[in-house]
Amino acid sequence: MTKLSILFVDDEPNVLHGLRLMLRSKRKEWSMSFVGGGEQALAAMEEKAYDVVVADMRMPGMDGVALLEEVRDRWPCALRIILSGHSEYKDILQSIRPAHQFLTKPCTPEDLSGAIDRANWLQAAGLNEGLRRVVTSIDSLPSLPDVYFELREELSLETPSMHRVGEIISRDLGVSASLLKLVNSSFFGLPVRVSSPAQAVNLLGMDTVSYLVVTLRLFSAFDRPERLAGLRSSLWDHSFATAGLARVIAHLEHADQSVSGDCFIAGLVHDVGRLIVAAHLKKEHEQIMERLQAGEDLLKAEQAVLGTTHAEVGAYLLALWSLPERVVEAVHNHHVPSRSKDSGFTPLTATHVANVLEQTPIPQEGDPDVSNPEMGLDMEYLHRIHLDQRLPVWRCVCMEKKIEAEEGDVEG
Amino acid sequence: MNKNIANWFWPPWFIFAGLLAGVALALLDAAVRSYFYWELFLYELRHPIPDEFFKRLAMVAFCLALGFFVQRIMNSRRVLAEELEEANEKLEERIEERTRELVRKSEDLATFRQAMNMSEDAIFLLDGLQERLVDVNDAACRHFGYNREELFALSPREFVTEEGYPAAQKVFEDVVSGRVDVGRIDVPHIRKDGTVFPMEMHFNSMTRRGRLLVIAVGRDVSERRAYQRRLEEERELLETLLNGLKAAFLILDRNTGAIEEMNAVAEELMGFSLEKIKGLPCDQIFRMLEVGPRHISSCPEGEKEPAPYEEGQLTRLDGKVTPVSKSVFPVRWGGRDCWAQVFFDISERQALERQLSVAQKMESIGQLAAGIAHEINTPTQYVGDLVRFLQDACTDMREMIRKLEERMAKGGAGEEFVEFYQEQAEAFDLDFLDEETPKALSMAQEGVERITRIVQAMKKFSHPGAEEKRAVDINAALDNTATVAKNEWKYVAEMTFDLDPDLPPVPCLPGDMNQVFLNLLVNGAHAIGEKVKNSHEKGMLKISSRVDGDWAEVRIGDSGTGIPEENRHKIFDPFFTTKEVGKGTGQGLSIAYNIVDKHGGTISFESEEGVGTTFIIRLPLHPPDMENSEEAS
Repeated sequence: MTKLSILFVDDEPNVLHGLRLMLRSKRKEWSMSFVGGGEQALAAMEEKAYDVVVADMRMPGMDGVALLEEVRDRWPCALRIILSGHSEYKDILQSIRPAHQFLTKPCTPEDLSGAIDRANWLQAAGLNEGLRRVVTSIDSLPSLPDVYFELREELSLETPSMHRVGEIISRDLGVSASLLKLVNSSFFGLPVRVSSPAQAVNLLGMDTVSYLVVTLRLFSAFDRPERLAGLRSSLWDHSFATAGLARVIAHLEHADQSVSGDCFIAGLVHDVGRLIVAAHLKKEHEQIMERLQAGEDLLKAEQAVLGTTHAEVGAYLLALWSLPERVVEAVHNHHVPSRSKDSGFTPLTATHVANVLEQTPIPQEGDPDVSNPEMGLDMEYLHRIHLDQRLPVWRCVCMEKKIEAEEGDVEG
Repeated sequence: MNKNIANWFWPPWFIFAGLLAGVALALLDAAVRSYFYWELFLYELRHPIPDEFFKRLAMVAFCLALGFFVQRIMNSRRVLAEELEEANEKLEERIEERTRELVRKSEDLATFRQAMNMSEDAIFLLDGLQERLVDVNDAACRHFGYNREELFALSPREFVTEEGYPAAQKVFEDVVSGRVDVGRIDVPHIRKDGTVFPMEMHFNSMTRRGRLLVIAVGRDVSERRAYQRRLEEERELLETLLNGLKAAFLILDRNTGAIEEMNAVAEELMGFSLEKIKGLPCDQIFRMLEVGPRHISSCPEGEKEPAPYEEGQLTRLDGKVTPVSKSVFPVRWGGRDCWAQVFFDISERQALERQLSVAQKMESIGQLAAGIAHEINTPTQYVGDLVRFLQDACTDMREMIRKLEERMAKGGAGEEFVEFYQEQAEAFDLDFLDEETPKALSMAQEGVERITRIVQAMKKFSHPGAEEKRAVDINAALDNTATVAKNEWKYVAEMTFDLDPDLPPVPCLPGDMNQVFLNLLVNGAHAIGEKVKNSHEKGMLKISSRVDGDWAEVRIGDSGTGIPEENRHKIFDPFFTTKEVGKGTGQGLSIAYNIVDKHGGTISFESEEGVGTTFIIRLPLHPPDMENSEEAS
């Protein structure tokens, strides 16, 4: 394995020196460079492409945000990390777009190594160069226009309801993913693991959410509504429903709060890769849609066009954004869970099963017994983690939930 | 008699006429004779005939006598006519005179009547013995609502209410009997329509042509009563207002300084009742209340114009201290020039102000907190890193020592051991550790010192609980404030100090003064930030101090955008800000101004657009309110 090359940028020489000494033990895995400002960092990047850039936020001259923006545009493959001593919300929020991850000073060596080592994972993810460029340069995800405008409208009220805002955001995987990127960063130092977008809104507070949406325009409406054709139900509605089912399954397995939260999130964002393709890879998206119409299987079509599937692409972005590893793992393997090393219930289990059950039609009365109840499910995986016996229970409860939801829709 | 004779013949027109007629007749006679008898005439002329001569002479005499006679008759007629005319004139004159007199008399009477009627007061002329009306004026009719005829038909007792009558009766009798000269009653009277109104009636007696008359002059006092009532109401309202506003007022004679009047609030505030101290000189009273360091000077001194507004404390004799504000203004009271003093109890306001100033301080500290956190986080980061490195280095060294000891235990010695040592030293990078460990230690120490410094600066800056002025080392305060605010300026400016080492301590409230310096520094940093943004350049902040006579002068200058001409007059106004919403409340300079003003100092600025602004704060080295406490200490 080649050494990761990392560039540290900080205007405080003592900080650089401290990092250099502390990370000396990593010298066998990493090749590190240290520079004192934005301009020098760009000069260093020109000489040699770095895998990771760790920058301070506020520096005289070119500051961290400007530097990372430049890096995003010129060397999109580099993992961009902010390491800042600032505790000002607005300052850090400025960097939410160009930075993949935020770390706050003082930062433990473990956190720092963990963040940097994500780069290893990313390199191993097996995306081709072109795809990596596209995904690493993404700084925000588009949302459904109506969801987006509903959100803007709610926020423009004199007293927006936190509950409503959380609920609106939960329906949109793009906004949810962007928000989760933020709240899971160490900057907020949140004492609890954020388990749902609604909770994220609660923890961030209306002011911050409002600032993100209205001022920073972190989320934007999908600017090509025509590309949404056919995606709306198969992507947004499906994601939201899957998230709900994944949580139901987690409850059935008596998973603790944090695991069931991750199940919900993983369910919500498991198809984020499809959103990326639709929003950022126009040509590929069209080709895939053509193949789908020709009756080809989604995964095969993606494999043929992209050389990989939406699961990998989505996981790549979520890994960049430092979402919890369990979530990244769940998204990455949600079609082929047996790839994982799981030996028990994980968010992957819930996501995989929920994803399949959500697409399974509700059995109608008088129907003959479902001919192939295991269709689409990775029975080998379930068997390995000793949960194949639980499947009937999950199916039963999930179908009930689906019927409830449908009835709700009809009534609504 | 002579005059009469003269009058008879003068002027003598008829005498002359007779003479002329006689001569003419004689001449005519002679002419007739000579015409017919010319020779005879000539003859006669030479030989006068006496008969003829006498005849003619007689003719002349006759005519002359006739002239006399006619003259006399004519003249006597004229004289008679003249006398008659004269007598006539005299008569006319007398008649005129008489007429004038009569007119005058009747005019007098009319004037008197008119005057009587013009009077607003009701006037009754009564027969003293018969209790009967003799005359009334129009006002009487008006007041009582009757016409004259109706009035005359009434008995005087019908004008007065039944309850009032005995009193009126008694006074009337007193006047009639001469027991009193002037009687006065103030009883309700009744109008024709039955309404009752207050009337004050004066009785006066007099004798005319043997009759005892009583003049009763009545005045309708309902308006006066209403006016009095209104005055009372106004006074009551004023009193209620002042009491409601908790305004204590007292009125002092401008010349004597005596206390003339005060209200209940003032009594409560001072702990004296008006009865006790009315008329006493002000300073004698207030001298007892003006104790403590921040007492108020309550009495105007002599001719000197008192300060129109002052704040301070009053200490009651029972020891209760009240912070008060005092306003003084000139008034007229009882026809004299007086001072009105109004005191307000401002303890609540002061409590609020204190809370507000604490809140403002908290706000500025809150603003600083993020920057200070950064200033602390940075050294914490590298101190942590260095300690981690030292830990690793320590582990490595111990590991190496352990290996060397093992080797030594095996009895290795000589060159072989040296070789082993060098091998290990290389493996563990001993040279590097040897070089870097001491550096890391000192750097870590320096980092800890940095943290300590900022924490201490913060502590000094906030100065909790300093409510009294004390001697403050302004240079240290400036340095300290710059440290606390370092994160606000270090990215945009270089800081230079030019502090006068001989600057004596300046009496001030340290917390407040720090706030002034902070506000000005942060403003300067923002002005520079505005100018250098996106240019990657740095501006200059310059802080200097010096002594200027009895003043300490602090200058805080920046090389920022400068203040545009049109904003210069309003930068000290509260809530004036040019910063974007959320970046400034517009209170900074206003607070600075108030604080410096409270210290008896001045704050001004020099500014050039695009070049920068320098704020100049001047503080008195010997403020008057510190003299006492300085002596005391």
